[in-house]
Amino acid sequence: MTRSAPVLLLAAGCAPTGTWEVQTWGEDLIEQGIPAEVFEDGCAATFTVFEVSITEASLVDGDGSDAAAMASPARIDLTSPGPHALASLEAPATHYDTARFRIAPDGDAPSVRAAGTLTCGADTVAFDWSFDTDTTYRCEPEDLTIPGGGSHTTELTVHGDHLFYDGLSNPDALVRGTALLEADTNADGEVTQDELAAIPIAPLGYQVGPYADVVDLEAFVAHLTQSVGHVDGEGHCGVDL
Amino acid sequence: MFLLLPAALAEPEPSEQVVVEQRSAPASAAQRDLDASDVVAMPGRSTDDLLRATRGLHQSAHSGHGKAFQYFLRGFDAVHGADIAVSLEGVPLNEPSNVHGHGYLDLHFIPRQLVTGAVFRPGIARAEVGDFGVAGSGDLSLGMAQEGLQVQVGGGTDRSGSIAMGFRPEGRGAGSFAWLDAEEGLGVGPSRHWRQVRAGVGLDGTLGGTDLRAFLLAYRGDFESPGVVREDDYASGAMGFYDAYPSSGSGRSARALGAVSARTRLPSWRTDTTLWAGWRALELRQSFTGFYEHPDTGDATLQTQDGLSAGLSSKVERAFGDALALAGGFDARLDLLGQQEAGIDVDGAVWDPRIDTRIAERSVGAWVAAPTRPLDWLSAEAGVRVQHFTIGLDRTLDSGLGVGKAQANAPVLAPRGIVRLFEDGPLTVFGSAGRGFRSPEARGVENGRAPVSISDGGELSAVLHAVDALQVRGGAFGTWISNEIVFDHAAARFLTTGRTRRLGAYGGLTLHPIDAVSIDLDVTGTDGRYTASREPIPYAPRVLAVGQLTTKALVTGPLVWTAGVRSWWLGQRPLPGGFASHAAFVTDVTARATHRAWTFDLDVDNVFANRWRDGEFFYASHWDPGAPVSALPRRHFTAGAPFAVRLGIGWRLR
Amino acid sequence: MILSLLACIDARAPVAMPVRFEGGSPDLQLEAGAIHLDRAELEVADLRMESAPVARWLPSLVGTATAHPGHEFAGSVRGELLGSWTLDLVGPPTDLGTAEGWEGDVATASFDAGTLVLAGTWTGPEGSIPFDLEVEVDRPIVGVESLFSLDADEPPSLSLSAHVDHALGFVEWAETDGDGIVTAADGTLRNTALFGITSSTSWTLAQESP
Repeated sequence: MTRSAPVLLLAAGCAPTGTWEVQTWGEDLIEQGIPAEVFEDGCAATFTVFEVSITEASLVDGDGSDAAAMASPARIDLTSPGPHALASLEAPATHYDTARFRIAPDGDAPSVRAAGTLTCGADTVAFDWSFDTDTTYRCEPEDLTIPGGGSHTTELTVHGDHLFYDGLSNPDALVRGTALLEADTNADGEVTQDELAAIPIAPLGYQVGPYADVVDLEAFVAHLTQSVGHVDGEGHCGVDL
Repeated sequence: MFLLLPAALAEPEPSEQVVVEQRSAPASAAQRDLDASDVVAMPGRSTDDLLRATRGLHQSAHSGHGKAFQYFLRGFDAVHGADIAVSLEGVPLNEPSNVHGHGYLDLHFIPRQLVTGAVFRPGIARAEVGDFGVAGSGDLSLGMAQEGLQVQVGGGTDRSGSIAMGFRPEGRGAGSFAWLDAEEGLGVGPSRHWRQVRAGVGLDGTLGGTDLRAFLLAYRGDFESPGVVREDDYASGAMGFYDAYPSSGSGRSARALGAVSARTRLPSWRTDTTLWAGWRALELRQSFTGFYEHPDTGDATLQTQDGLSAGLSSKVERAFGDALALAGGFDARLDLLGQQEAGIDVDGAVWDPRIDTRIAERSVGAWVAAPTRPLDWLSAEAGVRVQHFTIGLDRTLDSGLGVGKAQANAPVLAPRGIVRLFEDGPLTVFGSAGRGFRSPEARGVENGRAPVSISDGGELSAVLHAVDALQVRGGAFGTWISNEIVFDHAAARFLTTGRTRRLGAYGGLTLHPIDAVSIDLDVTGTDGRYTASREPIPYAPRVLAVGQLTTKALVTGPLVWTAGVRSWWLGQRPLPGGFASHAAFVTDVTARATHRAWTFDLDVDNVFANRWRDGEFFYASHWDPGAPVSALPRRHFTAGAPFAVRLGIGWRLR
Repeated sequence: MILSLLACIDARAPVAMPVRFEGGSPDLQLEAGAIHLDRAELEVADLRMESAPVARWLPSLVGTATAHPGHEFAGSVRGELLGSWTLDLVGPPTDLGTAEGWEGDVATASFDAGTLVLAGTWTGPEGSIPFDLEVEVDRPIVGVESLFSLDADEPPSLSLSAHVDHALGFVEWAETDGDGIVTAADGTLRNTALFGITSSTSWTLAQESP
């Protein structure tokens, strides 16, 4: 068996590298708010804070190993105009099909904090929710080729409207606000997480699919924070919960 | 018609042979050169079947007569040709970015009777080999072996008939010919009807020390495809082994290819320039899942492609004394393609257009090689090839990558080298290493750069030729791919499946008990795995053993025989998802007896009438629209060639 | 090396296994009260067993398999029993048939659900009240725990169990329209009964102990 040394030296010694630029963005739905036409029940929402703790951003090679990885966690408020740069990393120049992101608590900081207002008809409530969910997104951008000496940008796109879905895994899930607004049981104009936790899911007609342990509205929204990550706009991500 | 011609006009010249010039010294013990009589003695119906002569290659036909085979070589699942570069008189035949598969290699357009020789080289070691040269390469020679007018008719138990006429002017080379043949058959079992017409003209001659050559081939084929049979349907008796589900598929294929070439031979210079152009149209209807995805309309798809291609290649060799030479060349090609894919209903009507794309693909390559022989017992050839692909496309439909124009560039550098020891001795040792590459498939291209698939391989082999009657050969090879890239047609994305390695060994012998008879035995074993997971590479054969008994110009009484009996055994193959295929054993026979101006041909496919499974696949399918839909993956197979006998008779006028 | 390649590949073999359904008791004691079921039936169809998914996909992402020979993937369905049955959730065990499958580990099961019929009496702190409900579920019940392995040499007998007490534990038995009987028109009975019956933990598919 021969394994030509010259060929390998050429392959290894001259292996070109390029730059993987990583960014994140909340798009208009987080920066400007979610308009009524997006909601099935005519509600609307705006965010004053939408912070995510991105603890990992990695370029994954075909063997499942990290070809490049963000050195330190980043905490970004996506209500400020984006896209927001996360890292600029050197990586072997080749084709990749997977980028991995992790949104998880970073020290005392929650993984996701969303604050703002929700309006349904004449009623408006404020909310300020923090979640400690830990989610790894395995994303499949349409194209992820790092050119030798050049750069390619991958974006973790965060979809704020997913916090208002009425289903956890059914593809026909809709964006609804009424149940969340009505969770303000003390009518003080703010829906707290404790109030959400007091609302059982079963009467709402919401669907949890295989996640049978999700039985209250707080757990439901917490679970939805694990579905906000996408890639390059609408690109697909698998989720390790 | 031939019966009306007076037999007395025919000149008896039964032993006329064309000896093919060996294009270059071999890079390994696995290289195989076929001359015209080897081609005659190789069983099989079409030119595509000749590729089976490649040591370690298995090919599978899952869609009747007329669609490109699937190729497997040295641990590679080369799909329809993505990893095997084949040329005809130096004209590249693989079709980049074909709608049905990248590197689509369909040789049905070449009249088998016009193949006068071939060289097949597993592995990649020569700088000349360009795109798709990943697992191996080959080149076919075109011409008419014999002078005069020849007419052949034939028919067989596979409900087929054929007629062929060819003419090579007396005193002209094999490259001067006119050819026309047609065949039609119903096949064994339903949905196997095919019809093919081929025509060709060629001209060769010499002008001022330059060999000039031109040829034009044209082809049209229509065919039905039996597709797959579900193993549980076969086991229950609902389907016969050679049955086909309704609307399993069909196709039309048309191709024209012409080339002009000039070769000069001066004492220390050689040049070779070829200009070629081709037209192609392909239409494929197929369904491998029935009504699984779309219970109302059915899952059948229609793929269509039309295209024009042209290219130029040139090479120069210059010798500096006996010890050193330099060779170099360049090649360029342009492919202008239009391709569509759509979902069609049971009546064949389009209900779901999915792809409509225009593609302009440019490829420019250059190579240099320096063959040296510093010592009597040592020769070496170091070379390198650079290639650059520019792929532009315009998508009318969004198949996952948006609409509009996109353009990508993909450069690649491929060093290669060969070492030969004791070339003139009884034991010759070969060492070779090289990088093969495959261009990006246009359908997955976005703006910017597109990924080139690259493989690095090496081989060590030896041939022992101590006595005239026996040649023994053996070798070991390895191929390493740092990032295996495949295009997922369903998701319209390039996937990276990681590092792979293929390690293999082969051994064989050629025995000449008497001059006119040879016996070849070859065994190739390959262990192909994903490096990280250790999972086997699916579909790729692990063991292929081939034995062939060949007679060439064997005289028995008034008859001169050229014949071949070829048996092969293919071991189990790993399939995705933890499944495995059956092993297969098949024997084919071909025999040609010549008596004066007459030739009598006998072909027997699958002599032992084995019901062998040519391809096996696991997935869910649904063929009865009225029944509940099962999502359980099932074993499906494509039936291997059945037992069939064909007879032919030919007559030659000189 | 060639000799090692000649060895047979250890491939998945087909497995056939009987499946039966086991309901529960018609008399249930829940935290908030007691239930007597006169009738509890659910139409179900097409039981499928799946291996553990490589990744869970987000809503709106439903994977599709393509199947050109050589390019397809087998999918994650490991076993299957096609058919439709009306399960008597409080009746005796019933044979559903023989499922087909391939060797390997199973992680979850799913099946389609149709009409749910519930009739009986609820007894809570405020007394007893009859209920009568017929509701179209029309959604799959997914993620049902199914932790066993299929082995062709020792094919398992499978048992699908309904945990009716768990399913009805979600139900709010509020009679709101004053007709003296809790029906789909009352309050949240429809939503809560749907939630309970489709909860993956209201079901188990298990290997019967030998």
